[in-house]
Amino acid sequence: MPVSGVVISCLVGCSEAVSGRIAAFDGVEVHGVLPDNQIVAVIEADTVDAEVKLVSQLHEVEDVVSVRLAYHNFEDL
Amino acid sequence: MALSRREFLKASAAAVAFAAAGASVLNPKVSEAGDAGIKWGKAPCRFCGTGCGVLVGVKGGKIVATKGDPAAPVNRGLNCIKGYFLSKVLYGKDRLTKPLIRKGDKMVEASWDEAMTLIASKFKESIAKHGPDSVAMYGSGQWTVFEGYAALKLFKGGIGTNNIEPNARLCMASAVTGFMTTFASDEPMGCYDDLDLGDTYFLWGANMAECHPVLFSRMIDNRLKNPDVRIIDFGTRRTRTSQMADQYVRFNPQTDLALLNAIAHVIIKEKLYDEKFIKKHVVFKKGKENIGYGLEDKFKFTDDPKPISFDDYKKFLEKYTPEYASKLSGVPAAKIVELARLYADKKRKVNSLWTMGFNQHVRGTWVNNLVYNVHLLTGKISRPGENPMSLTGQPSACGTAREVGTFTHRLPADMVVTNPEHRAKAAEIWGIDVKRIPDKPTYNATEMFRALDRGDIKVLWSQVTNPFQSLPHLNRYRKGARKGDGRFVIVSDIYPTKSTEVADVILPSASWVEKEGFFGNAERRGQQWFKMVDAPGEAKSDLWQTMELARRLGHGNLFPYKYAEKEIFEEYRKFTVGGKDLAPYEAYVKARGLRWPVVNGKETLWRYAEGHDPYVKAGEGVKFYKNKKDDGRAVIWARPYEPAAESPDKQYPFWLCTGRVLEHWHTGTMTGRVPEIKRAYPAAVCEMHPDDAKRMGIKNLQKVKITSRRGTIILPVDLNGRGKAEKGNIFVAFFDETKLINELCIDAYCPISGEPDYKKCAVKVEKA
Amino acid sequence: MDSSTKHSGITRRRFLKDGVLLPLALAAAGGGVSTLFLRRADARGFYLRPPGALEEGNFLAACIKCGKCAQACPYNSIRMSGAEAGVAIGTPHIIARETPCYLCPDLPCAKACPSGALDRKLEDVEKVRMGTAVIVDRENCLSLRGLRCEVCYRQCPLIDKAITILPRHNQRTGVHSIMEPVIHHDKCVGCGICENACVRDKPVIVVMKSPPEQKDYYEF
Repeated sequence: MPVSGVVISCLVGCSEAVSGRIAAFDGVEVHGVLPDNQIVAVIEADTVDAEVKLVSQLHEVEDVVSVRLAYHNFEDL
Repeated sequence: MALSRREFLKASAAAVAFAAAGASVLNPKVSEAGDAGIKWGKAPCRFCGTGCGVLVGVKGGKIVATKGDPAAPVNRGLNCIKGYFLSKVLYGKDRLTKPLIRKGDKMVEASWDEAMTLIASKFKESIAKHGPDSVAMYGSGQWTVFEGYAALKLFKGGIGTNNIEPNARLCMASAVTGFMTTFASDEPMGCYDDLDLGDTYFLWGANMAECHPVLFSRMIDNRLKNPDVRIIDFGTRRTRTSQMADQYVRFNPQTDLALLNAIAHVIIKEKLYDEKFIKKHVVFKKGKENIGYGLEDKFKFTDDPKPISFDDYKKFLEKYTPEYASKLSGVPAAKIVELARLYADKKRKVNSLWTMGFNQHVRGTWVNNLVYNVHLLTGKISRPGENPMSLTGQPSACGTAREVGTFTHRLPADMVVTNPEHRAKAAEIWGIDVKRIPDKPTYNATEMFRALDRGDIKVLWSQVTNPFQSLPHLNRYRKGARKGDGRFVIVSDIYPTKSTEVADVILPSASWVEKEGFFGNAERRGQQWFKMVDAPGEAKSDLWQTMELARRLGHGNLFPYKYAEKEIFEEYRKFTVGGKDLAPYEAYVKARGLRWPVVNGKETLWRYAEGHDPYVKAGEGVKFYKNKKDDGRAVIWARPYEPAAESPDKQYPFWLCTGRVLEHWHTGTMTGRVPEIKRAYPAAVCEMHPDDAKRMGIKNLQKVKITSRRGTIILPVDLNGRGKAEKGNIFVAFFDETKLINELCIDAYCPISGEPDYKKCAVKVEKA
Repeated sequence: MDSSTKHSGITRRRFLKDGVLLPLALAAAGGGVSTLFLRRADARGFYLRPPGALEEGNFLAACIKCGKCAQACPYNSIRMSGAEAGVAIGTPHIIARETPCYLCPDLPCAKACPSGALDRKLEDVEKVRMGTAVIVDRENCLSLRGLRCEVCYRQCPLIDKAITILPRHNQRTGVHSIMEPVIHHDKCVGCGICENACVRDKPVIVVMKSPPEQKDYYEF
């Protein structure tokens, strides 16, 4: 079951709104909204495929500029 | 430990992501306060009885910095780690800022008027229904002199009850009765200068390295300068003090009584005593024996001193051969002889220093007497550089509790309520009818809380202390406070504590430099400070609180002050003339403290000593002038060895000793709120001897269950810590409010001083 | 290993191809990225490894980054390093200032190591050599300024062995002694409890890489 830490960059001034939007996804936990339009989140999914899908969906969220992976673990738990 | 692997991964994921995002969550940038615009004022440190001077830096109405006061003679700019963090102790997030009144299980915010109206009504109701002895004040050696004096005056001179006690009963009472029975005047003859001037230091039950840190570094410096200096640490636990001492002499708990008698035995047998000094300055007495342990409620004891001769005393000591004492104490007989000779060595300037090992002792008064015996036999007393010196724990245990006399039996300046002349003097100064002051002492601290438990005391007000963490046999008294049936507990404090938990009303207090104050330290040094910052929210000084209750009870006429602090001081000063003289208030405003008696503007370094003490006449040399009853002589007491109240047995095979650590102050309510100190020493541990642990299959850091006849606690074991328990002993510090070790302690006390023994009870230890 | 593991091995490549940044690339590109928890250790070019770790080069070769040591640690002292660690990504280390090694007598972390990166045969905690404590900022050390602090000494699990107190005269006050904590490199295990306990904002005593042994024949 993969667990990832991601950094999401948002359009200027939109990080609060984006954090609300992405928190609505199943398997996404927002851990912090930083002052420089970045959001730190942890992603959990049942399979890596599901996780990839989830990340792709995050890319599509309004006002999101980029999603960067900072940490990834995909061993069986 | 159950941080799941999954949580671990998630935490790591988040942390690395934060790192990648360039955020510093763990080190938030703190804006640095500039030095500019800081106003500095002087105050003594808020913590122990050493009385270090500090400079307090204030900016924008807040304490922004503190530093050791280079002009303060005690510490010359130094502090220990508690003093270093003084600026943070008042600013914990959970400072109490509003009065709180219990409504069912909740504490509800209230106005001062509501709270004081409620308190006054409870006092009035209880006094009307059950008499004045149904209300009580439990105060503190951390009270300022003004606060203690006002409480004493209100209770003894206004309400008409002797139901006032300080927490100093739990720490210094045996020192007081020791001084009173031997010299008829409380407090040491010597001062801290003896730490620089002496060359031989016997420590008894004192972990000075941790509990009087700045004084300890002073004594160690003396040894650095003078390689002849010897430090001998008598103890039942190997401490940081033992580590730096020249000799550590381990003895079995309670056998200090036998050891001191054996030392006297050797001094007499080998004729090492100072015959001239004894003839001129000493009388001998014997008191009652088999005096009990105060374990029963309403325990009463009155000693019956009988004069004896020097020969009688010698006969009494015959039994205490080094061999006999060795059998009891575990100290080799030859060592006892060697140390007795060192005590008596005419070329040596000998000091004895002690703290809670002596005072928190079911024979605390006796063991204080016995150490004076040795100094009186050898004449090593009231001389620069050689004195017996009782070190104090609290910043104003001396200044407030002992000098003002906030004990049930006391009045200011060595006076007692049982003496009609003393009552008359107090009544005169207070401008009241002498009949208002009751002539019988009521309860010592332990008995006071027993009375609350029984319901004999209904209303109890605690100020500047935390009895529901610090009392022995804590379970009983914590339960007693919440038994209902008219019981009403008021707690004034600056933070929520184990005591506010059981309170019916919590009053938010101002602390330290949030009010004007005056403390007296262990060397008779009185130190004054001004208010420098406002207390947070609606917090008010305990002095204001007491006087407000007085006003509401119709005793406002006792406190007709405009500038209460100064006027109280000047009024109190009238009591002190004739041996314990304080200087006018203004003198303390200017000075970095003055040691009483202060006569004609001159402080006194050595009491009872010609050329130093203004009350000793030329040609007298030494004069114990306060003991008028015995013609200005001190008393050598024949006090035997008697066992502890509870000793280890098959079922409870370990001695439990409790105490302090350098980082934390008492119950940790202040130091526990300084994050740096909390990190340095977060939680209590159980010190145990590695051999005992090995025998029981206990490994370092493993949790153990400690059980006494009164309670149980679970703690990790520390086999190689700062303190090293002897075989058959364990030690636990009492600061940790999540681990109430005092639930295990026995509420046995010294029948003469009323001070409980926190150093000895029997426990068993099991793997948890 | 079951089939899903194999499967994830393949999908992982796809995952990375899908445009999410590779951790190592992030580390390489992260010139401006401040790394939060490895910074202090990183600045010293030194990672505090769990007890019993092989010499760093061998350790990196042997460690299979399984995290078993971290799982075994009852205090959560051991963490797996992230992207900033470069080639050492995923290896266990201890950030003493956050949670030091408390030196469990049975060394469960070393026992848990399947690869030999940590010495499973290590029994005596006093033989552990993770690093060596050093007072790096003497000016800011309270004890060296004469204050009675010495927290590092009193909290040292090898008190009086790894750290001792050397009292010396305080010339400024004239009557007090400075209680200097002295670290003995032959005894210090590098657990980092002193670094953790130091009361200054920035610890003045920190664990560093143990200096190499240098032999001579002088007795002092």
